[in-house]
Amino acid sequence: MKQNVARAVPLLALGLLLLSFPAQAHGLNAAWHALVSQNPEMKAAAMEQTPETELLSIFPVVDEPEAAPALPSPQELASVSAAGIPLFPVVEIADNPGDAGKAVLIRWMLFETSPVKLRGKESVPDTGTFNGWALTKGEDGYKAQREDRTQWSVKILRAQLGVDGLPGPFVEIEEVLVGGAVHKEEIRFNKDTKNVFWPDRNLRYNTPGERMARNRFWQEHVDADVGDGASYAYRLAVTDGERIAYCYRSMPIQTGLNRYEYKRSYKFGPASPAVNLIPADPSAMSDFKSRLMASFAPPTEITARDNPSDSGGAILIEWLPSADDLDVEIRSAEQKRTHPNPVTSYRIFRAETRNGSAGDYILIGSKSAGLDKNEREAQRFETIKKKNYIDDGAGRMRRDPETGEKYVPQYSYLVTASDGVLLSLGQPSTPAGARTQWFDFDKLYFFIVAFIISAAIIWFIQHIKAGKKLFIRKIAGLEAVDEAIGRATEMGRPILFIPGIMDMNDVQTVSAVIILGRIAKTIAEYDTKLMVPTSKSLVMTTGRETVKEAYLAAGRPDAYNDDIVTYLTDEQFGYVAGVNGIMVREKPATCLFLGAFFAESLILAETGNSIGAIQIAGTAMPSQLPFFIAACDYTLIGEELFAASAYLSNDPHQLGSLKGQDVGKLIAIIAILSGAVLATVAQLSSSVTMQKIFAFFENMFSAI
Amino acid sequence: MLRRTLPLLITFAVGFVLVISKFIPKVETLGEDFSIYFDIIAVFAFILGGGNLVKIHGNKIYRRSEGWGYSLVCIIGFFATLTIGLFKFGNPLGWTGNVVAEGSAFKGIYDFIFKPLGATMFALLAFYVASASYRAFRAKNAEATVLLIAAFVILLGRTFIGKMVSFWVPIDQAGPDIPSFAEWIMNVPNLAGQRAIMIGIALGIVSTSLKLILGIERSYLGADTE
Repeated sequence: MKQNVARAVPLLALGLLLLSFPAQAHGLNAAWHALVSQNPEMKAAAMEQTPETELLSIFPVVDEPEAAPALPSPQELASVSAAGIPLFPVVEIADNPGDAGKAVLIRWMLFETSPVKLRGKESVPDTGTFNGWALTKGEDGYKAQREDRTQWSVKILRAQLGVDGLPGPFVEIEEVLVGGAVHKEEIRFNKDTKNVFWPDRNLRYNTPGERMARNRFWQEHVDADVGDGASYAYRLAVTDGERIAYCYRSMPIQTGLNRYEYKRSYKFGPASPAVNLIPADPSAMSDFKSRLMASFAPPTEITARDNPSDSGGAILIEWLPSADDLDVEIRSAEQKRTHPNPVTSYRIFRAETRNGSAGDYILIGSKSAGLDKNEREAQRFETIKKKNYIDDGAGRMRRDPETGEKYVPQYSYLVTASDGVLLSLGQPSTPAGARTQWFDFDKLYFFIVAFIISAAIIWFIQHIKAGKKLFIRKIAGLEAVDEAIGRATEMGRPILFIPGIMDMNDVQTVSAVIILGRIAKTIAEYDTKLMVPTSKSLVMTTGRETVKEAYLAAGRPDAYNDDIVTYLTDEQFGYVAGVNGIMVREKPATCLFLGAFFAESLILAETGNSIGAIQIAGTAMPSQLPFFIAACDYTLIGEELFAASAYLSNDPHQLGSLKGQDVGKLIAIIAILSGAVLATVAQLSSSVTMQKIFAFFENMFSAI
Repeated sequence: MLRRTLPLLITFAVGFVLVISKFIPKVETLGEDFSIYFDIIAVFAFILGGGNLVKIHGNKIYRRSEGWGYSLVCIIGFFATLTIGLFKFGNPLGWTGNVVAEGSAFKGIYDFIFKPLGATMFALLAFYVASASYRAFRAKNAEATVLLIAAFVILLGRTFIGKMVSFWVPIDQAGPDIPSFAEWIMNVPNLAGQRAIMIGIALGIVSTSLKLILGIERSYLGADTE
């Protein structure tokens, strides 16, 4: 009865696991709806202060600063007027996810400015209309409704980048109609003053034929008419047929193969700013500022310097967060709900500077607002609240093509606070360049520990040579090797040796081949058949050399032939199929799985189990150990695989290395105990000194 | 002399550079270069592997050994794929196109023959997990019983049933329920055990690497009997 219960329990658990799949799907669905219900009104409370600067269209319109060849038709542009276009797109362009390349995803959200003119401090009448909007009074604000009969459309233009990185002529690839919609918006106002505070400056422009609720305001177009691996720039334009306004061009985007289908939920993240390229020209910059400036404060004290302890190519950018970034302080969930953070992220732009002047600022990355875990950790003992970003795309030392002189490219950085749409610009940093260092001081403690362990191993190897005898504990799996070989000999069946599926650059495979040499010698002495199918050509050639030497050492060179070690295939499951076939056909009495294994470990071990072979496995892949333990008779766990060659050889040089490893274990034990004691004391006591000591200790080993 | 000393010198030089490149950024690129050299050598060795495959199966077919029909399928598959890949049959961009371009015959072989076959082998794992779990989770002794209980809690905790049967904690509240106990098992005893194994593995790798770099272990060169 007890045995039956013990058997039934795992089956029951397995059944429950299968039953739970629909529930897990339900859970995902719930999470989906939770995301959908995110309310954009969260910014309302932070919008009390509205800037006096009127937000115009983001477009540079017809007199935009790009060179004429970049536009589709200068003649056409000259004949149209951009005056009064009230819409502007916020654009996000990315390699289309989940495809095999050859597609770019362009999505945009339209904003409306001038027709509505909703600005702070502007009172709302109790009823009736407001700037062309029909108002319906509600509890917290007004519902506004307006019908726009203008037939707007968004034009998408594309240019391929040349080898010089500059875009060629922009060509129109798509025109999407967006106008003629009935607009519904909620306008919120202060109950006492009746001043509008949401939205403070502009409205999202609802498009007809709204898609799924989660994608209500976004429109998208997949440009599948692009080459694989090529780079493109895009720009969008809004037109009503007579007037047209162009957006700045996007950053270059490259198509490519996406190995995995991304979850489309990434679209819930904040959108990139409308402009990914900030012009370096000061007048254009001021124009840009006037058009994109948000109501919240910009980041300050932006500095850039060479990222320390690296091989060059990286610059560390630091800045003080925006004064409006509320999440730099620890806040409760209630506070976050009632006073949402107006700043959601920081956008980092880079411009290369030559001869003292900066080029265009290109968006290179972003960092979320507030403090992340590491930054909070750093604030435990010091009040520095600087945020940082490492730009690892900076150029290394290069040679000037004209003068032939070597120089380190210099870069200026601009950090902006963003609410996902609008930007608040700080002052650009002074230029900085990336250099290569001689020593990585971040790994100093790692170096010290590695040096001590290495020195101990070498010392013990020498020590053993002097004739000292050391105690080496028995390893059951290795003790059983002779027994397993003897069993195969008695049964007249072959021995199968699998050296893992990695190549000779993996130390586990090297260990496996070394063990193969030791075992092959015994097998040759017993005159038993050995089979070593490999999945890598280099392993095959190395294995052949090793086995040949072993047979020679055993005095049986005649018993050796190249067919002992064979090559099957590099492909993981093709190799598994081949080995399983050998097992089923040849029915080896002993199977040895030693080396690096992945998902195939259990398939191999269970097949070996089904043919009744005695099985010895050994791997340093922690995730595969449980499978081998469950399905094999003996398992060499982690370090035992590396110790096996020394153990089997009984060579004093090799045994000394085992003793040296014990010194490493001693260091690990001392570190673990010290860490546990320090963490406990630091937690229990309020002593800042103790906490600092623990932080230092933690930092020391986190680098390892 | 060259057969043994030269490989040992190369091993020492490459191993030493790879170790110091971890600490000295100036030689980091050199370390990366050495890794690329390995890939180049491995490509040449692939010819040996392919040759071995053809030789073994060719012999089987020639001698009409048992199961020679399978060897024939293997050889036909090998040469057909090789030819289609080399000559880029059906590639929409012709000779200049990517060998795995969409619509090419080579990509078709990969998508419609190779991938389903690989997935079929991988799918076997689900059944082997069941059979291995059945043997491993039998409560034969105290240790196996602990394993059984831990596995049962984790299986329950990772499903909705775990929350449902935790009657002592209201369904809409967090508390010491089965899912949190399962998380504790994974994050504390399991992680502690894994870390101990990983420390041992790291030390084993250091030791083995040192033996290889210093030439103490040289049996992989076929020079054990020197």
